[in-house]
Formats: sequence, structure tokens, C-alpha cells
Amino acid sequence: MVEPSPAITSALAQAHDAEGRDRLLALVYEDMLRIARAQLRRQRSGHTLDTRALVNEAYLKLFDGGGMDYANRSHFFATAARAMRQVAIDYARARLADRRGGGAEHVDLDALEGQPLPVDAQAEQLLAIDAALDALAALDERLVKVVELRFFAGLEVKDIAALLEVSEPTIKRDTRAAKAFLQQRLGSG
Amino acid sequence: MDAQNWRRVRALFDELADTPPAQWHDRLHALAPGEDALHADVLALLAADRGRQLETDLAAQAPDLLDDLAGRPAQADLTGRRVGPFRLLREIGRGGMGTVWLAERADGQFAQQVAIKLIRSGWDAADGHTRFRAERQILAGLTHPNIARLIDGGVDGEDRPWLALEYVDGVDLRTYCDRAGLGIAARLRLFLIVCAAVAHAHARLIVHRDLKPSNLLVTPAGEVKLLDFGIAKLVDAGDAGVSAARVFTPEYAAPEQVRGEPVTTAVDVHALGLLLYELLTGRRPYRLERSTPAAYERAILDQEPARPSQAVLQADGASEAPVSRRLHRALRGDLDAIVLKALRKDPAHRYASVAEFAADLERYLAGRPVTARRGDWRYRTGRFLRRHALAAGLAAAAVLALSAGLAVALWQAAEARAQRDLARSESGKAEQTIQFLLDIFRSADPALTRGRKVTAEELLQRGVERIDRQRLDDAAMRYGLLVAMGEAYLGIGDLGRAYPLFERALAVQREALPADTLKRVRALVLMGRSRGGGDDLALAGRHLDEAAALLPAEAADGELAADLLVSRGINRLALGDAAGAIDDMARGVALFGATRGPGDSQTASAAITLSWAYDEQDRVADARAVLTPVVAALRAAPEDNPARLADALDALANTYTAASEAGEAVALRREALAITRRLYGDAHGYVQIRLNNLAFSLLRAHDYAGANAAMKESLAGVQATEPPGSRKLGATLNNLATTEYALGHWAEAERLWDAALAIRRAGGDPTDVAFSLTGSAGAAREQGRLGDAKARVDEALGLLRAHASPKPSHLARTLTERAEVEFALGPSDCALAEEAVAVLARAETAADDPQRLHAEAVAAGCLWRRDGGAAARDRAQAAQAALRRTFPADAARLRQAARYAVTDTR
Repeated sequence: MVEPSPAITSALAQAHDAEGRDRLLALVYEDMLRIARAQLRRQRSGHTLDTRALVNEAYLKLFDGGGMDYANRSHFFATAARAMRQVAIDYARARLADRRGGGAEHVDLDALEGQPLPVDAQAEQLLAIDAALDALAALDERLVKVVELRFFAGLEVKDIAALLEVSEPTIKRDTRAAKAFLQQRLGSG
Repeated sequence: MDAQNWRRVRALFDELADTPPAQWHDRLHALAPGEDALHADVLALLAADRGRQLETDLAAQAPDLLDDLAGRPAQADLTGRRVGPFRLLREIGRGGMGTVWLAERADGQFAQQVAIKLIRSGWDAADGHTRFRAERQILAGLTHPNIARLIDGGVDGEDRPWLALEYVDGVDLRTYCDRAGLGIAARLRLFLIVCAAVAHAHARLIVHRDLKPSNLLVTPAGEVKLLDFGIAKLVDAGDAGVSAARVFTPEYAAPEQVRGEPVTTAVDVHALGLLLYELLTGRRPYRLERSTPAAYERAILDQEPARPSQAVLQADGASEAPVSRRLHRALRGDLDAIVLKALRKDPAHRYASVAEFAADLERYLAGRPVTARRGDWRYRTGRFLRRHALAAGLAAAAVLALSAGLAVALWQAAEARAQRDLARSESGKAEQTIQFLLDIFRSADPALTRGRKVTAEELLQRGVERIDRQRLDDAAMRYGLLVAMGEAYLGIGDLGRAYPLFERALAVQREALPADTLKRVRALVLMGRSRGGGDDLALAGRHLDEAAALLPAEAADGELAADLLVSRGINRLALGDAAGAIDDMARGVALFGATRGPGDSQTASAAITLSWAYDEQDRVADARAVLTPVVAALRAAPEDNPARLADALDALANTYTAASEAGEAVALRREALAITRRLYGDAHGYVQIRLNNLAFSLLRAHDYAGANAAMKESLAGVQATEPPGSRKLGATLNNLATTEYALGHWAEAERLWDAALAIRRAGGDPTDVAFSLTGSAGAAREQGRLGDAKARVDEALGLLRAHASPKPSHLARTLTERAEVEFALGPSDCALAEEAVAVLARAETAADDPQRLHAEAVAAGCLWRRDGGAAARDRAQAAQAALRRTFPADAARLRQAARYAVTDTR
């Protein structure tokens, strides 16, 4: 159903400025959502969504037929990872808003008398992670990128190293420092 | 912090990340002298690095959220969309199955509003759709005024199945009842409508499987409507790959659903029990620390629900509120029994059908006896005994002490009463009575029986025959003899023979002595005590209640009243109504105490029984308070009733449950043992039981050698008197093994546990088998045979996991052992050790309980080895310190736990 999208290809070509990046993100975001749903419907219930497979699938669908140069490839993954983050955070926010009465008409069939479900706890923690990542962005953009690729897009260390053109040990050290930073923020928050 | 600072912090962090925490300070001072602010940032980062970690990817960190996200259709896409002949108007609900939409007919044929369920995920197009259609066909045939109809269904353009159901605009049943301020009877009548609808579906082999308040609506017109009948099954039917039915709401699931076992109508019976519980009490049957689905599932499997009548008193301040006291009284007894019967863990113990459940409620409303309270003596006793039997390693035999004690107490009470009755007969009749008895005894003259000795049973039999044969004109005497004979049968435990004699006594009273209410009450009390000639507790309860209603006011403080109250209390205890039992018995004991004094045999026997009821409610302080004056009075004249004194001492020892009181318990047990030895001789079964109980208390007092010696003597006695395969022998072997293990005699402990297993495997309780298996595994592990240990503890854990409600301390013991084996085998995720700690914490086990201390040491040591870090280190060190505070310095347990201590080379 998802054709190699000319819109995305052209958005990629123009993605050198901030506006171009935003457009690209919006396009990838839509795709992420669609692919996520399709993927889960194919899987048996009880399986968890595999974010890496999701990003890979988006990639294949968008760029099937080759012709992607390296710069675009790298750019795509960074954007997809950012989109994954945004999708998850948006959803977490919407979910919590629902629970707090934002969607007053919704009778949440899963709700256990308004008690926090694990899924809501997960949502709250995810928002905390998001905020901590924003704080980290002010100190070290690259670490945020690593976290996005690793945590939100589920890429392997070696893939991230190749994409960012650094060594694997560097990515490992980055991951460790970033996790410590996030953990400290979550703990103190 | 700015970016520049961060670079410095980051560099120092990288430098020190693999350095042991002890060196952090020194290295920091060497690398960046004088920059204290920087040090703090680096140290915080390093500490976070050693602490609990985030998952490396989102799928592990927030799996449910992602699942949810992927299943959520984009709302904007769907409003106004056509599904079959309908158009979606707005989303009105969402849940595990998908979303629910209000929709209207779009083909213009006629106006109709429906609820459309769009079912999410888990669908295999080819196979699923066929079965979906088949199920849909069955549901379409389900028409009942109280069941929301399935109108249509199909699969939309995106392969998503949908269902159109009758749209019901209403509030859920409980809210409706609360808003309308309905009383118990009105609530029950509404609930019966629900039952009738469910029974209608069951008759068509359709199980709801997901009954819960949000599926039971009442329309503004006051009509009850059940939603989603059979939908869970239908949704599962499409899900070819997932075997067990998993579509249910954890909170309202039955144990067999949680375990993934086949779903039958019993699942709906259970769910209806939960609903009724909520309707009557306004709360849930389980107390939870957290309201997560996992916590509900565990509670459903492990916890016994609080009795509804108790539940209404549990809210803050509720026990004083007159409303809840009134509700408490209304629920106590029949409704408690009915609700709990529907909630039994084992489907076979629930009502066999919703119709039976409803019939019992109808009986209650009509004021007739309910079946839930009939014939469950065995179930109740089983639970009562098991609760005590599993109380701790040694307690299996301790219960033997309790039940044997009860028999003795009842027998002695009956004997005393029979003598008293004879002595009290008026003098004229007394002569006749004595003559009558002499005649019976004369018939036992060896000269007449040709030297053969006549048993007590034969004598009684002859007495009864003689009453029948002789024409006794005096009705009072006839009554007296029937009662005396009946009591004698009661004394030897032959309820079946006792009951008809009391019935005849009652008939004599009714015909010849109609004005003598006391005689009527007395006969009824005795009929109650003989339990309808068997185990008919409900019948017994009715006799006793009738007696209580007839009791004249001037007799309300007398011995008959005391006897009545104590008898009814014992009956209520057997019925599982501990609160009612305590009420009655406490008054009975007070009356006996006032009329006969605290040292009287009757008073003592009632007080001992009352103390067990208190124990059952964990009210050890009350148990002690009722026993203390009895023990004091009996001790003041120790030769008057030494057997009762020994029973009372043993019962009093049961109330010293805290670790700090173990010494007191030991002293009481020793005193009871000495008296029992003197009375019965060293070889008697009672002595073995007292020894066993003494060993239990000695273990708690950490006198392992003493406990071991007591158990050895107990075993010698048991081996001499019990047949080779007896349950008691199995328990005794098991208990001796426990003491050997505490002493660090691994091989001997293993040998004994294996011997106990040989007996217990042949038809024993699986939890007993699991207990001995776990012990044997530990002994094998200590001898370095990890393979054997693993096989045994895995089997034990399997048995406990399959059990509906394993005793928390047993489950924790086996989990800990399994964790220890895993720890010895290599790296471990510590999940089992942590589960053991959680199980004990949830059961509110005392903080200084040896089992809990050990479990904590194992878990803490495991986590330290796994993660390291300051927190894990502190926890492990605290656990070791707690063990050292509790156990004597030379205890084997300390040496065992040392392997979970903190070492700096993790």
C-alpha cells in the first residue's frame, strides 16, 4: 500500500534547512503511524512492537529501488528516530490527557477505577525521559541523537556508529553517559 | 551546567566509570583538584550509572504503551466512515478489544442507532473470518429482553472485524443501585434478573467470559441490559494463533482464566460472585497494594476474599458507623456463605450453575436455609486445618494436637455433664434412674456374659433398648434417660446414634411436658451439638438458633445459656463464621466463668476453643487474655484437672507467636509436656504431639539441638505406634528433617526428607510434598549436588504454582530455595528471590521472621552480584546485619547466608 513516496524523496532533497526538516518529519511521522498499525495487526496480540523493524520497514517502503546516497540515508534514520520519539511522546501525552478527563466522553474500558495502569506509568516515565532529553540537547546534541537512534529507533551500536561515522566504543560510551544523565534526571525529578 | 561544564563532567565520568566506587573521591581530587562543584556533578552521574538502569530501547521500556499506540486507530480517519450499512458518529469507548462507536444506519432504510465495536489486532484473515462468522451466527440467535442484541457484523475494508450491537444508554448496575439508595433485598432482585439472563445464555452454551460492572447497564426506564455477551469468545475465535482465551479483564477474571485454562460457565459464576460482592459491600474482595492487572491476577490466584460482612467494617471508621454495623449483621452468615461459594478458587467448589446460585439467593430472600452453608463442614475444616497445618515447618503435627485436643475436650465435657445430670435428678426419680443404670450394668456381669467383657458401646446399646422396652411412665425420667444416653454417645463421638435419642427426648418434652421450655431448649442444644447426626452444620445452626430464641429470660445467665452459646460458637467456627463464633463463645466463656469459675473444666474447654477462633483471626492478644485466667486457676489446683491444664498451656503457647516471645512459648510447652507425660506415660500419642509442638517453639527460640532432641523422641514414639505409611509419621519425619537442617546436618536432613516424601507422595497433600521436596533440594544443594537440587525444587515450585492458594510462607520458602540453586549455578536475574521477598511482604510476615530474613539476604546478595551499586550494597549489608542480630553466632543459617554477603570482588 505504501509506495516509494515521491513526496518524501523530494522533502529529503530539500531537508537542509529547518523548514525542510520539519516537512520531512511530518511525512515520516505519518508513515511511522501507519506502518506501526499495520505491523501490529499482522503480529499476534501479545507481541510487542519492534521499533527497529518499524524503522527498517519505513525505510524499505520509502526507498525501495535503491538510489539513496549516504547523506540521505543517514538523514532518514535520524529523522525516523526523531519521528518515533515524537509519535511515542505525543501518544503518551494524549493518553494521560484522556485519563485526566480531557476526553470526557471516553469511557475507558480498561480503566481500573482511575488507578494508574502500568501503561500510564510508562507514559509518565516516557514524558520524563523526553524532558530530560530536551535538557541534554542543550549540553550535547550528539548524545541526544545517539539516544534517539538507539532508544527510539532501536538501532544497533554498529549501525549507529556507521551512520554517525564514529567508532563503536564511542557509541557505547555515549550511550552509557546519556543513560546515566537521564537516570539522574529521572531520579531527582 | 553549561555545555562547557558538561564536557568536563563527561570526560571525568568516562575516566572513572569503570573504577570501583571506593576510589572515586581520591581519583577526582587527583584529576581535578579543588573543583568541588564539578566533583558533585560527576559523582551524581557515576552513582546514577551504578543504580537502576533504563532499558536500552523503547520497546522494553514502554511495551504496553507501544502496543496501545499501534492499536489505536487514527480517530479523525474514522468519524463519518461507513461500516457495513452503518455510519460511525463518535467514539464512545475504548478498551483491550478495540474501540466502540456510536453509529447510525446509513442506508436510509430506517433510523437506528447502534454501538459498533471495531476489533483490533490479532486477526488471521483466512481462518479467523470463518470462525468469526460461525460465532456471530450463534450470538445472533441469542435473544433475551435483558441481553443487548447482536445486530450485525462483518469485516471492513481494512480487514478489521466489526460488530453492531444494540445501543444501550444507561448507567452501570452498581451506580444505579447507589443512586437509587437500594437496600439489600432490592439489589438482590436486580441481581437475580442478571442471573436469569446469564442462565438463559448458558442454556444455549454461550459463556459471557467478561462480566463486569461496565457490561451491566440499567436504562433510564429501569431495564437491566447485559452487554457484550460472548464477544470475548468471538474475538478470541478469530485469533487462531493464541491458544488460551486471553480476552478478559484481569480484575474480574476467574482463577482458571488467569491460568489460561479452559473456560466454562463456572467463569461467569465467579464473575457474578464478584459483582454481587461489590453490589452488597461497595468494595472489592481483595486488598491490593497496587491496582495493576498483575496485582489483580495474583490476588485472584492467591488471596482468600475477605468475608463481605467483614469487608463492610474495613473502611476507615466504618466499624463504628451504625450503617456498616447494620450491614455487617445483615451480610453475616447466609450472604457471606453464598458470595464466597461463588468465589471459590476451584470451579468444582462453586455453584454448579448460575441457576443454582440464583436459587440460593431466592432461598435467602424467602428466609429459607441456603445450600451454601450446608455440607461444607469438610471444606471448612479442611481449610481450617490446612491453615494451621502449613503455619510453619513443624505445624502439621501441631494441628493433630489441636484436633485431638478438641475431641478430648468435647468428650470430657460430655462426661461431666452426664454425671451432673444424674446427680441432679430429684431424689425420687434418682432412685429409679440409679436402678435403671444398675440394671444395665448388671447385664454386663461376667457371670451373665460368660466371662466376656462388655464394651461401653454395648452397654449404651442395652440402655437404649431398655428405655424402649420398659414402660417408663414418668415423662421427665424418660426425657432424662434419653438425654443421658444421647450424651454418652456424643461423648464417644457417635453423632449418628446420639441425634435420634435427642430427637426422641424433644418429642417426649413436646407431648408430655409442653410447659418445660428449659427441657426443650436443652434438647435442641444437644441436637445442635450432634450436628443432625452427621456434618449437617446448617441444620445444627437452626436447632441452636431456635434454642436461643426460646431461652427464657430468667435462664439467660445460666449454664444452659452458656452451653448453648459455646455450642453455637463451635458450630459457627466450623461454618467459617469466625466473627460470629467469637461473639457467642466469648459470652459463653464469660457465663461459664461467672457460674462455675475460671478453673472449671467446662470454662477451660470453652476458653481453649475460643482461643483457636481468635487465632484464626490473628487476634493473639485476645486469645491470650481469655486463656490467662483459666491457666492461672488451673495451675492453682493442678491436680483437679491436669489434662485440661496441659491443653490450656499448649493453647496459651500458641499465642506467643512473636520471635521475641519464643522463650515464653517454650516454657509453656515444657510444662504441658511434663503434665502429659505424667498422665499418659511416655509412649502415648499425646506426648508425641506435645514434643512436636515443643520442637516447633524451640526452633523459633533458635535452640536447634533441643528441637532436634524433642523431634527424635517424638519420632521414636510415632514409629512405635503409627502404621508405616501414616500421615502423622510423614509429618514427624519432615519436622525432624527441619531440625537436622537447622543444625547443618545436610545428609541426615536429606535422608529424612526423602523418607517423608516416600510417604507423602502416596496420596498426600501436594503442598506437603512440595515442602519436603524443597527441604530435600536445599540439603542436596548444601552437599554440592546442584542438579538434584534443581530437579527437586523445580518440582516443588510446579506443585505450588499449580495450587489454588499456596501458603505464602511456603511459596516464599520454595522460591528462595530455587533462587539459591540458581545463584549457585551462576548468573541470575534474581527474579525468583525478589518474588519471594514480595510474597512475604504482601503476607505481612513479621520483619524478624527467620524465613523472611533469609529470603531478603538471598535477594539482596543476588542483586548486589548482578548490579553492584551503592543501593544494592547497602541492602545486602543491612540484610546480613539483620540475620546476625537474629540468629545465634553458631547457627548454620548464618554460614549459609554468608555467601550472599557483600564482597568487594563482585
